[in-house]
Amino acid sequence: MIQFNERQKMNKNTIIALLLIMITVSFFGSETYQKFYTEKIIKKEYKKEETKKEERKEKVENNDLSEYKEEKEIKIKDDIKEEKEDEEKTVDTIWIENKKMTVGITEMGGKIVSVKMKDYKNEETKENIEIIRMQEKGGAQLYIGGKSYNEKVFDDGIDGDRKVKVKDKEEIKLKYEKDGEIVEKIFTIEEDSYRIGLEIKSEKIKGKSINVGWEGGIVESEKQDNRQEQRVVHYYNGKNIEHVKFKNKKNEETTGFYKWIGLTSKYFLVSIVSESINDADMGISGHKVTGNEKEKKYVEIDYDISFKTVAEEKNKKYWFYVGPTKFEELKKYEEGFEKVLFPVMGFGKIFFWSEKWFPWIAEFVLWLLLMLKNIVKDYGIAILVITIISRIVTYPMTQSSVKSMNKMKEIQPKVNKIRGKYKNNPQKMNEEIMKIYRKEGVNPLNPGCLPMFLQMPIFIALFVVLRKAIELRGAETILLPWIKDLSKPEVLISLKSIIPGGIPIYGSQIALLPIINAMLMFIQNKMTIKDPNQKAMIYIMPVFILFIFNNFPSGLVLYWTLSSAIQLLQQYITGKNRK
Amino acid sequence: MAEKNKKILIIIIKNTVRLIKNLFLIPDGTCRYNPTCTEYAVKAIEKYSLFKAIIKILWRIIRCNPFSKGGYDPI
Repeated sequence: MIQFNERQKMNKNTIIALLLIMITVSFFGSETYQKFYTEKIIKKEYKKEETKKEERKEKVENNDLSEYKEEKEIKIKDDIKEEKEDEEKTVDTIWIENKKMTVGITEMGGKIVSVKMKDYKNEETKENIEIIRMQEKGGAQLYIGGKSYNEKVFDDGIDGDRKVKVKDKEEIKLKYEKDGEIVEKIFTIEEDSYRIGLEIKSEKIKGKSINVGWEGGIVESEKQDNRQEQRVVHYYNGKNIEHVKFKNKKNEETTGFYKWIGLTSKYFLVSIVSESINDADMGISGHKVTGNEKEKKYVEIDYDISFKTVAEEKNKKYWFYVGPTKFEELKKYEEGFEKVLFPVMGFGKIFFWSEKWFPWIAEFVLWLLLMLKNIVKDYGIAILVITIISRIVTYPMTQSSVKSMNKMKEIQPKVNKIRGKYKNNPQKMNEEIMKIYRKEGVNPLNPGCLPMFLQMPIFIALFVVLRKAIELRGAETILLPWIKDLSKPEVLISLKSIIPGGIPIYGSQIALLPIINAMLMFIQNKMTIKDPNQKAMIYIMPVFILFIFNNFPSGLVLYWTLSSAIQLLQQYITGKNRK
Repeated sequence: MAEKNKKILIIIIKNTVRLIKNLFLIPDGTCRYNPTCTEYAVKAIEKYSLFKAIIKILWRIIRCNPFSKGGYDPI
């Protein structure tokens, strides 16, 4: 009797612990928390600025202006210089358009100030996606021997803004000339490519360090309610790739032999590529950015990246990839870009060299999905086909466990009796249980834990593919016509106008598939959970699933729902045939 | 590892297994081994240092496959 009570107590503790875990996990991912967190950071930054202002004020009041005077004088001098330069030349912007993108290059520093994707539209404005977040900074910054050339005027020899349509290949030559110093920046853009070539030419650069940067970041292309997809920096040395991201403002410099450095958002990559593998300093500098300036919806880190090497000749060649992280496209350039698509970072790395084998699985799942889509012309149906295939592959396993499970149910009372009887002698207990199994002709062997663990990476791969593959951006399906995008959570009824900010944990939308899924799980649990210790799970798990799945990509929830339904059907049919 | 931490770890393992079983629709009571992998893991954590327990659990999971005989396998 006492033991029974203790058991109950344990059960209670377990439930409480589980609930706590669920609440914490969901809380940190919820909109409410994100909002709270964002506001905190914004307040902090604001405070910092306020203190700075006050300090300055104090100094002014105390006539302690020595610092500022110097600063001012230098600035005035610079301003005069700039003005002189401006008198001589006007700063134009050159717009270059090929089949895939429109690139804007300014004569001020010869920087790339705009890259617009022609194949991808912004969800809200329906305009071509602009990649550069901070256009005043842009890309293709140049520092020679530590000296900045970003405020110098590089002249293209033609006055006024102009537009160029690329046929085959187009070269834009920009030239900076002053006091006998000549620096040339030559951009090359091909007709059907995301490649922007950059050649730097100067008599004096030989032996000096050259630093090429991308300081404009990547804009958030997706409509985000509370936070953006985190930016990640990648280094590639011709063989291996490293992924870096940090949570706070920070600078980092890595020295080694490298081929390129890249910066990715959810769907886009900006990369500075060297013509050959170089002994280089790769610089990243993370800074905080607020998305949706007016509403201050999120604070995230964006990065400046730079590639610094020593020039061995009078010229140095680079190129930029500015485009989507689309597997086929990335593969074309044969630079290992496709490795940025499915990075394994942080916590994921604890699973046995997962950074080596997981990308392969994800690539396989992506390949399968795209191939099936080509045949059936619909991503929803492609997912259905994948479900059926995986069910067929695992049929022998699931069928044996379904069968033995049905029989188990019948002989469960007998087994429980024995378990009670031989509680203190597990060896004997096992023998007795095995005897019953033999007598009843039950094969108690399900495939075991290993197959289950081996299946898991495939499920996770599907999850990652649905979220990261740009092919699925805006993918619709005839199976569920109200879903606008299989890579995003399903919205059947939006609660935004009723409950601003949404229900904590659950989100701001009601979705149908998670509800179906929770119901299927409830039926499944009712059928299978026999352990009295786990009774409460019959009710808790479906609720948990409902909350978790509500914010999962709808394509994945579709997969899971179909999979559960088929499994239940299999159980039902097997059970019926036996009678 | 401290007793308290061990207890927390055990609760996390139990519930994670429950969750995985639910998600991947794995029925209860059809284990190859006695004790089950979960029970085995819990006992291993109670008995050994964390490192040794992890090695033991991994070895058990690897053995728990369609080609093994299963049966009584105490820690």
